[in-house]
Amino acid sequence: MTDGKDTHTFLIVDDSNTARMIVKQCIEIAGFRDWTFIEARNGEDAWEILQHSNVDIVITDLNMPALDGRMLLKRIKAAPAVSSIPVVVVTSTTNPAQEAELIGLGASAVLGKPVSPANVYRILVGLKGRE
Amino acid sequence: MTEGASGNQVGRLRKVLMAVVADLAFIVLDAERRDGPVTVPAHYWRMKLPVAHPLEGELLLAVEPGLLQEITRNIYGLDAGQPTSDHEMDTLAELLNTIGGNLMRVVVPPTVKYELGLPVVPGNCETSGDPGLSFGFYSEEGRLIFSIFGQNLISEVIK
Repeated sequence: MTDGKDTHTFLIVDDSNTARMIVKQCIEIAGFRDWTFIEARNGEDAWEILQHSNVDIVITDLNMPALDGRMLLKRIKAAPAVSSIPVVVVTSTTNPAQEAELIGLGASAVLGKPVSPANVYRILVGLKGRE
Repeated sequence: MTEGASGNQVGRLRKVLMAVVADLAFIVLDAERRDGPVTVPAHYWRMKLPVAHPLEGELLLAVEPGLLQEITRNIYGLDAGQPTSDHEMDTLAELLNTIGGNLMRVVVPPTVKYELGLPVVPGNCETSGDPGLSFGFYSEEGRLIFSIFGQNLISEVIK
């Protein structure tokens, strides 16, 4: 995110159009207005996009048809070409046990639903701080 | 609500439900309840969500069409535009998914992972629910506008 590139890209993965739209609005309200967005309806579509697009952060739902967020996370973290991309998991089923499992699988952060601009800001600024 | 659930637990569940709807949809639900079972009119929008683990059951959400339209407009930022039925159904599903996850967070111990299925439109107009997990919210005129039922979610675990 501070690598000198002109554009930065979020990949937002959720089977719900409403949920993708809410996440996108929260990111923009949180101040990341100059970032671009790519959207995917499930993990399979997201994986395809990752093969040919430069993505800086993946924000994925957990519970989806086709390939769910947990499997997408595992696939990303097992693939050297994309494993360094931070993955933020967004889920309504977050609790300490769930969060610990997802962090153990390589998630950079877990965000509970309903998503708010303040929480998105906190997570994204935290990711920037780790660079 | 409930045989089997403590008063504190019921209060927490109700607060969680109201907070989720307020945060997600910018709608403040009236907490007032009526005595007796909640009866949902047939034309209300419905969505069902399986709870897969550690409980096995379902949550059913039913919302008055006018309120769902208002919620959808709020979420999509449509000042006066008419949301499509696809947007309304998607909003209903996302609302139920978020409510379901947050309700289960109250019910399930923090050391236990829990899983929800994918929201589906129920095949009929069923509205019966567990006595331990049923909420109805009403308009100022006393009309039911928003309700959620647990189905086959054993009320004993809500203690």
